[in-house]
Amino acid sequence: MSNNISYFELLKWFIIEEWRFFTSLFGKTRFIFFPVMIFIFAISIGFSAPLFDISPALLGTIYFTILILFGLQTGSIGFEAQDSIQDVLGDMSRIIFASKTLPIKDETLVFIFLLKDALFYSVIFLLPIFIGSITGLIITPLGSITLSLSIPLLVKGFILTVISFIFGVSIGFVLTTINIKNIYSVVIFSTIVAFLTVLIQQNKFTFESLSQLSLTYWILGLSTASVILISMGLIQFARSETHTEKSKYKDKYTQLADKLQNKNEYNILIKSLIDIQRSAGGFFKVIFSTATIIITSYALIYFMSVFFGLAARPEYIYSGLFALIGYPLYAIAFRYDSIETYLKYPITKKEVYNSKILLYLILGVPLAIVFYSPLVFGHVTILSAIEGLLVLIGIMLYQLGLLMYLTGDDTSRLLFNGVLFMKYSIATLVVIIPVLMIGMYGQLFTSINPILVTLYGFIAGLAGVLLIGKKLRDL
Amino acid sequence: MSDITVKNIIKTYKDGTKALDDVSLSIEKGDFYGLIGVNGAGKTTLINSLTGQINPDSGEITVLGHDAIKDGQKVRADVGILPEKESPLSFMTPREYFNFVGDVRGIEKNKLNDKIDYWAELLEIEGQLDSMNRNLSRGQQQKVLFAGTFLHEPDIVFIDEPLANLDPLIQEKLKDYLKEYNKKDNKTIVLSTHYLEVAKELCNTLGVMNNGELIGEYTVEDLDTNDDIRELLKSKGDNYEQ
Repeated sequence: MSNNISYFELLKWFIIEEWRFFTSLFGKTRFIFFPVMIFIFAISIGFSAPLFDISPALLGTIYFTILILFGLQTGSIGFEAQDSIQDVLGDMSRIIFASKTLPIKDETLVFIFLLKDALFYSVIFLLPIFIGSITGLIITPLGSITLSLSIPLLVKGFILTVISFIFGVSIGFVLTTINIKNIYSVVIFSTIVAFLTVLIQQNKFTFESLSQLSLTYWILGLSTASVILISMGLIQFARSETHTEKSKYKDKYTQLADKLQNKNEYNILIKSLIDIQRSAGGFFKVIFSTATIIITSYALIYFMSVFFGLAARPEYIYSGLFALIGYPLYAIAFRYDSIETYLKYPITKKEVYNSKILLYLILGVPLAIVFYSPLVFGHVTILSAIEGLLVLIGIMLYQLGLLMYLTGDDTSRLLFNGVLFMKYSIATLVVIIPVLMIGMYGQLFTSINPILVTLYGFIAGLAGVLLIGKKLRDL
Repeated sequence: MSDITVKNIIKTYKDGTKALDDVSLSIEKGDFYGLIGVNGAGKTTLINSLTGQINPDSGEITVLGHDAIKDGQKVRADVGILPEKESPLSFMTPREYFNFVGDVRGIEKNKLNDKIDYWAELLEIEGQLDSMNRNLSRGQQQKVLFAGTFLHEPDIVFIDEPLANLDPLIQEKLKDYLKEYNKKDNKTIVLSTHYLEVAKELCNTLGVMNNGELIGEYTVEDLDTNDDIRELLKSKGDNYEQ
């Protein structure tokens, strides 16, 4: 740490930078609208909570679990940060990279960076969620959940909201710093995962049992776990800095290009595959980013089964929710380049988009099958499983079209652009909810022919293709 | 016939900055044309417009017979572009990058391999051909970009601060290469720089830009005797006397 700048001062500059970064990216008004939208969304969740008819303790457990999963999702962004940090001279000049030219330790910068994230997200994301949920619970006419609200309880609740999110981010962070070439980190990580798996399998931790713990225990437990995880991540991060980069690489581009026709679409596709493979985390990053959606979906399905019993047609529930892996996949497709990257070559925008469509399909379809198959095949008839799979692929295609149409080559626009995010959410829910409803209450719709549901998936896919076509025509 | 014709182009950015203000010019085949001006004068915006990377709000641009506004793709197929502040594709090695550029530009494999060897030797990057671009120094990255621009031997090249970050010996080598490329093959080069001495050494015509306007076109001799222009360039505190 430099003697000339305090942690507090550094934190202040990080926050100012973050604010200026997002407001210059999205404009002040649109950026400020984002927490408002989250607040409205949280009210509606709190408002409808009594419909689930569960105890406040279990409701709280679900709430905090979802926040951990949100944090995990956010933590996966660390992969990108790691790529940038490892760049000798990154395109972006952010404070996080200040150690290149200034006497500040990398570990210090990463620590303050994470602290800044916690504070920043607390205000723009977690506070609206917390206040919105509580407000929704208080004003709902749909039933009553007995809450004995007091100031200390509210304060504890918000602290736990923040800590749950940080805990999720910490898991994401430690995963992104694991160097799979470093055998010690693999052993430590595997041991922890094995230990947790054994604990869970022995039913020591169920949602019901966890919900009996007091907020204070939760705060202490998750804080301690977060500190341990962040420390592990920082140690691992420091090691990765001294790790010698492989200095020579085989010409993979020519190797692959020789097998394909010389078309710009294929050339960019090969370049994108090389980008992913050689960036931090490699293809593991794709699995990790999409797996967080799968884990979140699985948790949601678990809760739904707690409230409503087993779904009548689980394959459709998986189809609807797993299709959401479209967002991280599309974000990864454009993470290392943009349309602008290719503007100095005789490459059309259409060719760039076509290459990214190919990339999305090459990575997305096999991944969707890998995630979906073990949960569905063997549990329902083969025909039902295949129908569900077709619906899943149809909705993934719809997601691709929607993301391309709304965000172009910059998916980050979706993150804090409230209006765009709302458009994306509504357009996604409109297509997914009917599939989820059929999945949940399939037995009630005896007149619905499964072929019609498959046809629905096909229409969703067709809508995606039409959106792609519109985007390409508008270029 | 002119290789490049620009008529009354105007470009205003969203924040209201008038980057190009009614610019007109004509560059003949075989010209070595220098665009000089202080930072923010409009040089890069002009090059981006000439190569169809951005479209001006109004005006006409013709490059090698193509309408750069409607057909930027055709322009980029026939020219070479070396942008300022750019890095070669991060996760590729220089060899892969050259192969990628070669594929995109349709360069025959054998010819391309000869070119790669030629440039690697000239720029002294034989040892870095299989290292990842992101791990190269800024100067080495600039060398890779420079070579990539000339691989297909375009009739026109647009080069924006091409010698930035390079050591003096390599700078001299590249200046010699540019002179020969221009004279021997009668190729057109458009150089954007704020190093006046470099522009004076290489170019036969110098277009001076200020606040988005092309305020005049001069020969080196004209410029040396024009106190107003020299004063304008000096007053902005850039590198014009280097």
